[in-house]
Formats: sequence, structure tokens, C-alpha cells
Amino acid sequence: MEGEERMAHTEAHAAEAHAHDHAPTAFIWKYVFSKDHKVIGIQYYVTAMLMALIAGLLAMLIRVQLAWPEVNWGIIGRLLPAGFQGGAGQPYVMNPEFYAMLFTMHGTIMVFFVLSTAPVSGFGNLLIPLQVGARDMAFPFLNGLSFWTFLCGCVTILTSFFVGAGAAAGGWTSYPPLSALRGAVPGSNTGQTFWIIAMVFFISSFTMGGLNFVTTIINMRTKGLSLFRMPLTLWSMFLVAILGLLAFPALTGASLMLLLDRHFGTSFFLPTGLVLNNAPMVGANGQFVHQGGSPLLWQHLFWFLGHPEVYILMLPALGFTSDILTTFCRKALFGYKAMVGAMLAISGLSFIVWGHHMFVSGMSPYLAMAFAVGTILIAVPSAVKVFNWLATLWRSRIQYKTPMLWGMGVVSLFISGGLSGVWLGQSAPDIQLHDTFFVVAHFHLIMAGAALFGVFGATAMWFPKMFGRLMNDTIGKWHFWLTFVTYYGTFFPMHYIGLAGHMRRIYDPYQYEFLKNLQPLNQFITVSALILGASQVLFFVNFFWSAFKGEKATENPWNANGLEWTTASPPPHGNWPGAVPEVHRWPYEYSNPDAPKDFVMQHEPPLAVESGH
Amino acid sequence: MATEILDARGPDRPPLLERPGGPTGPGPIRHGDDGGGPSFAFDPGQFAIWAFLGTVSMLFIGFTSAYIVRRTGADWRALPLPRLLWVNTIVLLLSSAALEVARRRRAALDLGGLRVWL
Amino acid sequence: MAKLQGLLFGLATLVLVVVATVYFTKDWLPPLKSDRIAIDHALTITLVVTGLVFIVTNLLLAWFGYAYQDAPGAKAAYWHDSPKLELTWTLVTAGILAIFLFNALNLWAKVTSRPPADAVLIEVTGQQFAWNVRYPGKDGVLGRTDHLQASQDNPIGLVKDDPAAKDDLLLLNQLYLPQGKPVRVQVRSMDVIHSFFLPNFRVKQDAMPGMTIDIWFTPTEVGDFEIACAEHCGLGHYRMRGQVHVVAAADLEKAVTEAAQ
Repeated sequence: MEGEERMAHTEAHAAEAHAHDHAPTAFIWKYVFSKDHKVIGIQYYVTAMLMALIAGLLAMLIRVQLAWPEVNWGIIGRLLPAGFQGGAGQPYVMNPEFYAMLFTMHGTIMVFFVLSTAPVSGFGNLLIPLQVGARDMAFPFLNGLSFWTFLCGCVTILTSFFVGAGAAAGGWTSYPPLSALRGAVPGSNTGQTFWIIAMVFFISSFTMGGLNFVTTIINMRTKGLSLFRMPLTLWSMFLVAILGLLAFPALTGASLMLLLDRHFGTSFFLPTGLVLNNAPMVGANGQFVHQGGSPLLWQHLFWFLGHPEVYILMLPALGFTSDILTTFCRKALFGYKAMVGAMLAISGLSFIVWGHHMFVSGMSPYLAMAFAVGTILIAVPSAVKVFNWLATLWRSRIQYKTPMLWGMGVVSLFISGGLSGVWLGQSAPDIQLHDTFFVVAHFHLIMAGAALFGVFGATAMWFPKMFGRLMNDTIGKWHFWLTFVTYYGTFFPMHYIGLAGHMRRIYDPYQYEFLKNLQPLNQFITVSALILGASQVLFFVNFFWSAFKGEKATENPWNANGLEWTTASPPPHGNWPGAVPEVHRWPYEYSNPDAPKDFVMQHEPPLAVESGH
Repeated sequence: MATEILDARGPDRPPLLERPGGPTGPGPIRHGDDGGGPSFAFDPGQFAIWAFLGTVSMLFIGFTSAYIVRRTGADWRALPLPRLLWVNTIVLLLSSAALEVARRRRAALDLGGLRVWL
Repeated sequence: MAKLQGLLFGLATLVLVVVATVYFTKDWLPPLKSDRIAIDHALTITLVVTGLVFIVTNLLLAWFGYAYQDAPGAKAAYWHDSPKLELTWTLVTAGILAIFLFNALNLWAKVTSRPPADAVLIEVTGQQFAWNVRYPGKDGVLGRTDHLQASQDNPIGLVKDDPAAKDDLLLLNQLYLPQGKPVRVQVRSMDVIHSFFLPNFRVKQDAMPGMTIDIWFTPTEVGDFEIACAEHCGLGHYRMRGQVHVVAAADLEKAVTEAAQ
């Protein structure tokens, strides 16, 4: 009796819910303040790519300055008087404070507003419901809110260029006292405050997104989709969300304390005895204004986030790569469980290695040893992933479409960048390499490069699900080759200049005798970088042209196995017009000799003979 | 019955009603726990709150570790704690316990007990 | 077209390997002028091992990328698990890295060990944007500093009344070191974080305001070298350049006294 009552109750509510669940029709609710994960994913993605344009331009300015510090900036100098001195017959020279702002904002925007966003919030939102077999994320309203919060962060950080003495200029790492004392560098005026506020917006957005990701993946998987049948893309999004939820609060707390130090006279990070410009920073009572704080405290808190953060950037690319490689080499992923285990190990270990950024900071040498252990250890699961990818490619059948090229590019960059990590993780050799361009080479190859190539590969692969069309494969290949070659051309030589002692964040390296002979190499790097930057025009053209005029895509243009390929390109509101498919196997069933085709999609009914995944 | 139909499976199981953000639209209604598929299903809102508690805990752990580091500073002056702090703490703990008992009474449909513990 | 891509990928990867090998077989570190040769050895061993891994994995990637291309009638193998293989390559990797770790920790313990008792004591205080170098003078004791007394004429806040400070010798951006004798440097900062970097000596120590950090090393050759700042410290970070003069040990006192005039 009670059961029947409950059934009737349920059906009535279901009908009611159905009646309320119309796809929005007004433009503003469909495309602007949308709650649809696909629209939100694209919003995040496009915003991140535009931020990448800006941060990329900043990088070009850095590179030109390093190659030719004596160059006359000409029209650029005239357009940006705040950053350059000159005019009236004098050549335009970049200001050192402008250079400091360039590398600070390049790093800040790229790390947070581009590479934490496009792969995670962009593709995560697009793909998670489709790959788990849900009609949307667990909290669609929260999802939309997270995007608009993110956008507030973007506006704040971009506005900081135009405030008072310019944007933050203390490095993306914002070490105090430099970032805490307003007089220490011009960017530490209002610009640094805006930096902090932008971070708060960003972290709030990322947290909202993380809650959505974790809940959707745990809670809303369709029937038959156990955790070990999930595509590695889903695993990576899941782990990234957890990393973000647990690691970002450290930066939230630290940012708040930095704000208090800057504006309210506290001394979390500011020690006793600060003397700025030969004047002790004392108050009216003759005592130091700040007393007892520790700059090391900021570093610990920052890097507690900072290290998981770089894995947040990298893990999605690792997930994409496994999906891309298997689809385009028509072979099952080698060692699925090992790959998942490796990602779990990487994620877990990422929480205990942060001190390797601080080997020479003056922290206890015993502490440094502890961090060196974890750091060297984390190379093991990373190597395991490379070996499994190679084993996947062995005796496969590679179809060289654009996504495949990017996937293989990720493997290449992961090898190069990962190996240089072994150099840096040993604490004593790191003495020579810390804060040199060797570090810059390392993280640009493994983190920025893998993430960027992952995004490009994912874009080419899942473009049909974004816009219902295919990207142009020829332009895509040209874009890949130009990018691949010039990316290495830009960042690989940085290993050499770093070993030669070239420090980071140096406005004019040729003040130093021991760096003078590195100018030709710096120039080579700059030329590569300029071509790299210019090559991205191909991508933007391909992206926007194909979105409107590209070849229309079918449901499953790549003959891939995931659930996202069981519905139209692009998927309709609610993702599947009928029932949500059920899952009967893992997503990597390619080239099974007993199957009728060279791929068996996840939702197809069980075959007579299967490997039992 | 005057009261709404409560889920008699216990206080913490997800309700049978569809959530607005969850699976909706045409097609069979998917319940998280109808066999096969994911072997567990939580109420999404509750799950998210627990996850967020993790985040907030990390925030307070961050502040706490900053406090621990900072109090080794030369300028640290230990604050004398007023006795009222302990009284307030005990009151908070007791009232939290009472609220939890009240919640359990409600789920067990013990309206009398609910009123007492509130 | 597809065949071309495979060939290109293989070739590009090969080129990468060759260029990297050529470059890395040249001199890449600043000439070593201290006793920290163990760091150079560690770097060389790391180069050899990671270089080998780099070459092998990239050659495999290049070969697979070229050889296993899609062709009419081609079939991919159906083989996706081998616990033995997984265990093997995991253990081998872990083993090699364990050796690295062991050596790295031993080296670190040596580098961060206590300075010998006869080490020459020097204090280096970074500020925006110069290196203040201080020698303890004949009494061997560095005088007290009090940052409240810092000024234009007294950048490090030396307490002039302190008897130990009377014979302290102060230099700006000049560091004199004795050849063959251990040197103990106390690294400090007046304002923001700097980093005391001696590229030729494999020495780098962040200068933390509020802290005094000890490092020690032994210069091995006479000559003139450079000090660089290796932590972003503001506008003048790029010109925080100093000079190191390694002189015969017996000449150190004279050289410093003359330079301090």
C-alpha cells in the first residue's frame, strides 16, 4: 500500500519535473547565463583561449627583451608609455618594472586562467556528463555560477594592468616581502591587491567546479559504468577535482594573510628588521612596523597548493592522451589498471613534494631531504605512464589525424620534461639549477607543453561534440608541425642556458660576463618563440572557421568507444534523446579479433567472447 | 497522515524524488540504487557538502599551521584565555549534540522527542 | 599524406635526439672553481642516465610512430595487459631512481654539513640592489648589527659602539676568498628575498630577511668570478652583480684591508 503510494508520488513528481525541464529558448538563457554543461564548457574554453592570447603576447615581449635588450621598441614603446622610456629622438627602451610585470602576469594568467581552465573547466564540463552517461552535471546552476565567478576573476586580473602603478610584479609566486611591501616594487601597489582578489574569484570558481565534478563522477554514472570502466579522461578530471578541493585552500588562506600584511599591518610573512631603501620600516613609536613574521611560511603555503596545481594542469592532458592514442591507433590501452594506479600515485605524491621548490630557501636541510624522497619517487608512476603509452603504440595501427599528432606530442614532451625533473629533484644539483632557465625549460615542457598539446588534441578530437563539425585536418596538421618544432626550439635550448647559469626573471642578462656568450642562444629561442606565437593564428582561424563552416560531423566520426560518441554531434539538450545508454565494458576495446569491427563501443551489448573488463 | 511521506529507509538515504539538476527528461527515471551500475549512490547535495567540508577543513588546517609556525616568532605574546571561552565551548558542544538527537528523533518520526530535544 | 606524417614524426623525434646529444656533449656548466665537484659529478651521471632513457624512449616513439601506421589490411595486436612487464619496468625504474636518491641525499648531507672550525668567516647581506660583504677583522668576531640603526651610510645597521664591530671590514659588491681554505658565509638580507649565487662555485643560498643562513665551501683556484642574484627582488634584480676575487690564502687579509679603504 505504502509502496504504491510512493510510486504514484514519484511518477507525479517525475511528470512535474519533466514539465519544468524545457530547454531554454531565449538567447540569454541558452547561450549566456546557461546551465547546460556543454555551453558552459565552451564558455570556459573560449575565455581561456582569449586569456592565452594575452598571456602569449606578454611572453613575446619577454622574449624580444631577452634576445635584444638594446633594441629600439619603436611603435610599441610609443603605444605603451608606462612600460617604456624614450621618445623625442631617443630610442624606446623597456622599463625593468615593466619586464617584472610581464613575467609575473604571463605566469599568473597562463597557470590559472588558461591552463587550469581550458582542460579542466572547459573539457571537464563538456565531457564529464557525456562520458558518465548523465544528462548534465550534478549542479547545473552552480556550474553556471562558477563560470561567471571565473569571468570576474579574469576581469579583475586584466584590470590590474591599468591600476595605479601597474599589475603585480613580484613573480607569479608573489613571494613576500617583495609582494607584501608596497614600496618594494611598483607592482606591489594596487596591482598586487588586484592579484589577490582575482585569485579569490578564481579559487571560488575552481572549488565550485570541483564539487560538481566529484559529485557527478561519483554519483551519476550510468548503469554498468564502474570506476574501472571509466575512460582515463574521467579519471583525470576526478583526480584533478580532488586535488583542487584539497590544495587550493592553502593559497586562499595565504592570500588572506598576505592581504592583511599589505593593508592591515599584520606580520604573517614580514619579519622584524625590514629596511627599505636604507630606511628602517619603523612606526611612530620607533619600533618596527612588522615583527616576527616568516617569508618561508608563505612559500610553504603557496607551494602546498603550487605543486598539486601543476599536476592539475598536467593530469587532464594525460587522460586525453590515453583516449586519443587508443582511438587513433586502434589498439586497447596497455595496462589500464597500472595507468589508473599511476595517476592515483602521482596525485597522492603531489601533496608531499612541495618543498622541492624551496631547497635553497633556508628551510631545514632535513626537511629538504624528506621532500627530495617524494620528488624522486614521483618519477616512478610518471615513467610507468610513458612505458604503457609506448606499449599501446607497439604493433598498433596509427591513423595520423590531427588529434593523434597532438597525443604523440604529449608523450614526447612528457618524456623530455619529466626527465629534466630528475635533475631538479636531487637537492644538491638543484643548488646550481634553482631559479635558472633550466627550471623554466622543465616546466614549460612537461606542464605547459603537455597541457597545451593536450588541449589542442582534445579540441581536435571533441570538436564534433562542441560544434557538430570537424576541424580542418590539413590546417590542423600544419598547426601541429609548426607548434611542435618551434615549441622544442623555444624551450629545449633553455636547458643549456640554465646549466650555464642563466638566472630567471632577469631584465638584462648581459650585465653579467658569464652570460654574455648566451645571447645568440637567447636569440634563437626568441625567433622560435615568435614563430610559435605566429603559428597559433592557424589554430584560431581553424577553430572559428570550422565552428561555423566546418564539415558536419556524424555521431561518431572517429569510430571511438566512449559514451559521448553514442549521441548526436553536438548532443541535444539532455544529451540523449531517448534513454541514457548502459555500459557493458571498458572504453578501450579496439581490434578485438573476435569482434565484428575493430572497435566495440562501451554501450554495445556484451559479445560472446570478451576480455572481461 | 498529517505529515508528509518520509523516506522510511532511514534518515540519511537519498529521497526518491528526482532532483532538478539530475537525470530528467524523457526516458526511464534513473534511481542511483536500482542494481547494477554504480554500486553506491549518495544524495548529490549531501555528497557535495561533505566534499566541501574537506575543502573548508583544509582552509582551517592552513590557518592552524600558520598559527603554529607564527607563534614561534620572537614577538609572540600568548593571549590570556578568558574562562568564558570554555563555558561557551561546552555550551556549543552540548547544543550540537542536542540538535543531532533532535534530527534523529525527527527521522524516526518521534515528534514528541523532537520537540523535547529542540 | 598519412604516411608522410608518420615519417615526419619519426624524423622530428630523431632530430631532437641528435641535437640534444650533440649539445650535451659540450661544456655546459660554468668552469668549476670550488670543492663542490661532487655536484658536477651528480649532474654528469644524471645526464648520462636520463640521456640514455631519453634516447631509448624517443627512438622507440619514433620507430613505432613510423612503423605501425595504418595501411590497407593492417591489424593492430590485441594485447593490453602484462603484469610481469608492468612489475619489471616499475621495479627497474624505482631501482635506478633509488640509487639516484641515495647518492643525492648523501651529497646533500655533505653540502649542508657544519663548516670546519678553521673556515674563514664572511657575512654577505643582500639589499635592494647590492651585496654588502663584511669581514670580522682581526678579532674574528662579526660585530652586532641592529637594523634600527640602518641608514644610507650604514646599510647593514652595524652597531658602531660594539667593540667587535670596530675592526669589521665592509665591502660593497666585492668578495675576497682564500684559495684552498674553507669559507663560511652567513647569508642575510635587509629587505626582500635575494639569492646569493656563485655560478662558478656551485653555491646558491636564498638571502631571507629575518634569518641568518650559514653555508660553506672551499674555493680551489685563484681568479676573478661573478656574484649574481638568483631571486627576483625588484627593479634592480638584474643588476645585482658582484665580483668574487679568489686570492692566495696568505694574501687574503691584505687584499680585504686594501679593498675596504
